Amino acid sequence: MIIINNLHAKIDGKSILNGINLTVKPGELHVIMGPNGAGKSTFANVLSGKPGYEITEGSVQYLGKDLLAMSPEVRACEGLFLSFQYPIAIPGVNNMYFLKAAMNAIRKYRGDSELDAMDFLKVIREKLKEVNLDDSFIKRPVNEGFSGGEKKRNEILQMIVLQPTLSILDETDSGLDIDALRTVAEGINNFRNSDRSFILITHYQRMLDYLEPDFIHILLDGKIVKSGDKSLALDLEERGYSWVKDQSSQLPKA
Amino acid sequence: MTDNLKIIERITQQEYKFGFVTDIEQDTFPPGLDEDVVRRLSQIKQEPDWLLLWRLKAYRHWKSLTEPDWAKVMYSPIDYQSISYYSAPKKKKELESLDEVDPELLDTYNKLGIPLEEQKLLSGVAVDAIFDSVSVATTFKDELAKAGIIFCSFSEAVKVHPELIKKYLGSVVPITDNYFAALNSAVFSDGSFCYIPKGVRSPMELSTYFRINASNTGQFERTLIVADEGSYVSYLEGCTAPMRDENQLHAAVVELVALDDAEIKYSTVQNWYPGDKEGKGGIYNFVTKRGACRGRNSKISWTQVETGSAITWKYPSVLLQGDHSIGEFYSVALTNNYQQADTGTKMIHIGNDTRSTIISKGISAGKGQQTYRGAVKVMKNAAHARNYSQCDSILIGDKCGAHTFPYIDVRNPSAQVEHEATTSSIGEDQLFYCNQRGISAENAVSMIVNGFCKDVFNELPMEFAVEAQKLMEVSLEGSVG
Amino acid sequence: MTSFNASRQQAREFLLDNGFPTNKDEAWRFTNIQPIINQEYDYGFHPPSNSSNKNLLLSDAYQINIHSGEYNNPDQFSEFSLTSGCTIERLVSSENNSTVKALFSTIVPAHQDAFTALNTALFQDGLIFIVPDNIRLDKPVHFHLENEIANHPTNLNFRFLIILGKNSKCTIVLSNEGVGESSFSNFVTEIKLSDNSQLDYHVIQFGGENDHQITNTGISLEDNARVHAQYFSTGGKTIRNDLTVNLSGQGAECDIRGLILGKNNGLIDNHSLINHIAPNCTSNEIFKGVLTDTSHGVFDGLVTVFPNAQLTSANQKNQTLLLSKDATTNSNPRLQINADNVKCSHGSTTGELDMDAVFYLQSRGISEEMAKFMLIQGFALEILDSISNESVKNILQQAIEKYLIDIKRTGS
Repeated sequence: MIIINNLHAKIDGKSILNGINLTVKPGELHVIMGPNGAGKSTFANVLSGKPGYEITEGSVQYLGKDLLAMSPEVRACEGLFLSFQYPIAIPGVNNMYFLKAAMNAIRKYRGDSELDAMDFLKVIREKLKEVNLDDSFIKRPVNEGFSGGEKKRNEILQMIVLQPTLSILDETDSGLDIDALRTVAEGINNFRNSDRSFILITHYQRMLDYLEPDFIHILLDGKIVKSGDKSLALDLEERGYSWVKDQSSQLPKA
Repeated sequence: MTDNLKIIERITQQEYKFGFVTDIEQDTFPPGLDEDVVRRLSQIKQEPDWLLLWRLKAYRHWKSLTEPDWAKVMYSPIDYQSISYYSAPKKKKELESLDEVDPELLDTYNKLGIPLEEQKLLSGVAVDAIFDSVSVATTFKDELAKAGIIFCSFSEAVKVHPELIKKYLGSVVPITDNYFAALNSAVFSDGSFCYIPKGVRSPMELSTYFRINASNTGQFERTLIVADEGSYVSYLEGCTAPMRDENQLHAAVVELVALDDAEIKYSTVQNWYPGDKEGKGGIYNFVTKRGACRGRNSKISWTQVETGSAITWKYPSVLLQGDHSIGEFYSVALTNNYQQADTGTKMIHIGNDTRSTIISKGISAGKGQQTYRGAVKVMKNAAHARNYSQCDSILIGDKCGAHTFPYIDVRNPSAQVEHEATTSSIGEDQLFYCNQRGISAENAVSMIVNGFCKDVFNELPMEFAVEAQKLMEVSLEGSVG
Repeated sequence: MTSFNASRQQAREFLLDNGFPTNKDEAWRFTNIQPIINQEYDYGFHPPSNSSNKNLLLSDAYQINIHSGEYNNPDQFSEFSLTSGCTIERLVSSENNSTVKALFSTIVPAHQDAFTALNTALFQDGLIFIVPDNIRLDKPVHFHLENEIANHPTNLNFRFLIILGKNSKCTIVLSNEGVGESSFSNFVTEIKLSDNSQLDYHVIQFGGENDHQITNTGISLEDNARVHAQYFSTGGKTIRNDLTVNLSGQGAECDIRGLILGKNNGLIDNHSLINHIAPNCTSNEIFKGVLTDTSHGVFDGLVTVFPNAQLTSANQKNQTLLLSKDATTNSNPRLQINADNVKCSHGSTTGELDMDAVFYLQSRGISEEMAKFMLIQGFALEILDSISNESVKNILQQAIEKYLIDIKRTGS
């Protein structure tokens, strides 16, 4: 699905990513953990093509194509979805209009016919139930005046409507109470299948109680320093990042 | 960002689509203005003496004035002697009905998307069409007459309803009001008149379309709407002009009078030719619009979408004279390329318990310059006045300007006056968020700008709102940032 | 620079050519200057009497008293220079000082308006105050001016030239107490803030019943310099302040606050221009007014963002409370923006006391009178929040209280 090879990136002349290697196969759920400033959000932003970053080295193959050569909207149309850590408000533009525009842009790109308002409404009503939101939600302006939990649920709603192949979830668990966390996790679980892959970025282990990750990676100073299975997250919870730091400093330099 | 800029440029470089010229025989005065021109104009229109005297008084006053220079707009001086003050399609005979209107003219209105005949049947909007200086057709007259509503050209009103014209003409915008109003009062050639009798709600939207066709002519029309006690009318106004290299002057006056419990809703979609990408040509739109809420509980609401004209200078205002009267101003103005707009409103609180709302949204792109200029004045005896103003601007690109100049003058302590304004660019975060969902930068900008203008579009009648939204998209084409 | 005499001559010519403004001039629409300019003034020098200065004594400050343009004790300058490490000199004897040569009349040019010209033509004296690089003063420097000569209306034209060196820091308090009959003080203050310097600047104006105070201040900020300027004005027949802040260096910041407490038939008029010339600068401006009797308050603020001043953040606010039926206010907060990557906002509110809030306090057992007192006090005190110097804050708190007690007594 995606092969990331020795990815280096800078912002404002400062190196943030220092050679990330990661391969995600269809159906897999990878979790990236790491302390503040490790480069987690940068990683998500670079994959989705946010302007302002300079890629200094490395390559990213996505579905056999060069991801880094694509504009952000083409990446989206190719099925890459980023759930934003801080979803952006767009005053005056309602959710329904926004989502319909997005969905039709993607359908058009794939050569499918565009949905009219009625068909779209049918699709979205169904999806709203899955994330426990009522109809009035889609008439509100995009993310404006939303609570933290509503914003995150809105991101998951967009994900299940747009049906991406690769979803990158940037701290989708932060700022959620326990019920919202469960709803969001269920949304993700229902959406999982053998064709779809996920990269989940998080600080905490708590979201992993509800999900079944295939791999856990620890990101430190812009590099994956340790990979393992679910037990790694538990170790981390118990012993903190300093444990990994000590370990990684003892590793011979590659 | 650079990609986005390119798209913005592409969007804003869309050509003006109403720029055709109608090939029609016209009676046009030679350029120049003196008392004789005013007399001849009045004579052609077969006006009564009192109106000629009124015009002459206005002309003499105009001559004593100098052109105002306080607005934040720049243009080379206008030579008022090089303008022709009257131009009309040549009349073959008196028109009895729409069928007898020159087919070329009707074709023009069809091109503008105002199919007079079709509208007559389908859309239920009564239209008065002003071609250069004269009114060419008014639809739906009979249906309106049944309700007692008078809706006709100004010239006709002078002949048929002189008592109403005499009573209200110049009662809101006196001839001495300002330079352009004085000029208009001297040389106005036609316009629309509308009277809604007591207790009548107009069964349909009334509408005027203005079209400048002839070259070197100025357009000086006059609109007067009187809503008698307890009546209601919604009035729409649209404007276009051909593409010409020289600048043409449009100096209109609109007067509204609302008596007790009456309500007037006046909507404008102004799309005069804005000039080309280099700023050549375009209409100088110097307009005086004012409404008087004379009666108790009366209400006047201005909504404007201003995307055209090389220069716009207009401040639709409300005099809140009656107790409990309400004034509203909703505006979207877009300046692109070399367009300049200095626009806003005045809300003058005179009666007790009066309320006013001002919502202004400005979009500047290209090298456009835009100024919101608004005055809120609460007179000494106006108890419990309320005003809320919100003036927001978006800048697209780094060569344009957005300026906000409110003037707040409060002489009564029981007033609550609130003004808020923000200026910003379209957020890169917002653009990226839309991009990440698959929406192109071009569509994202138009989506964000339309969202920004939503509060104003909501005030427009449905068909107009759709038109306005499309107009914004066209006017923005070539400008993403 | 040309000599003082040449500057005086040029300013006089400007004044003769252009005359005084009238209410037809946009910037002077609300300021009636006829009572000021139609008065005959005594320009003679008079020995200082025993200065009163009861209201305005800071508890721990370097204090310089100036009485009708004369210093009580010029000897204190050298003493002050010694202890503070700064330089302070009389302007009239500093004509050859290199800083004066370089900066005199450049930050506030004589031809800015009639009153800067008047000052430049006629200034009796002034002060030059220099804080050298890296000097950070712990105590505020307080210049106190009084303008009073028994039975003689006087016109005091006084100037300040203040320079803060790189990385320096200080607090300056400039207070003016007009006690004389129809006296007219007309001050020009020029301030230059070098890279990374930081100035807290307070202007405190206690107007006498019939006196006029006009100030023209220019502050020029270089890279990362910061100024916190605070105007406090009450009383007087006419108080007019013009302030120009030039954010010329990247990363410069200004925080401008003003409180006007109008009473009787006084006019208090604050005009400000904040110029975002360099990118990345921040400006905050808030003026509040409380007006009673037939007083008139004016706020006219223009924030201009120049074409290259990207990443500007500007905020401007004006709030006015009208306490009597004859008090009036004009508020013109204006933004002029010529760069796109900016965040600018402004707001203005005018009204009377929130009667719901009064009721809320009453429902908790507080008398209506007390409730109003508390609300006005709260409205006014908010502006003092950011003052770091306690003794300055105390003086202003007392002045607010005195104003409130006065209006309570007169029953308005």
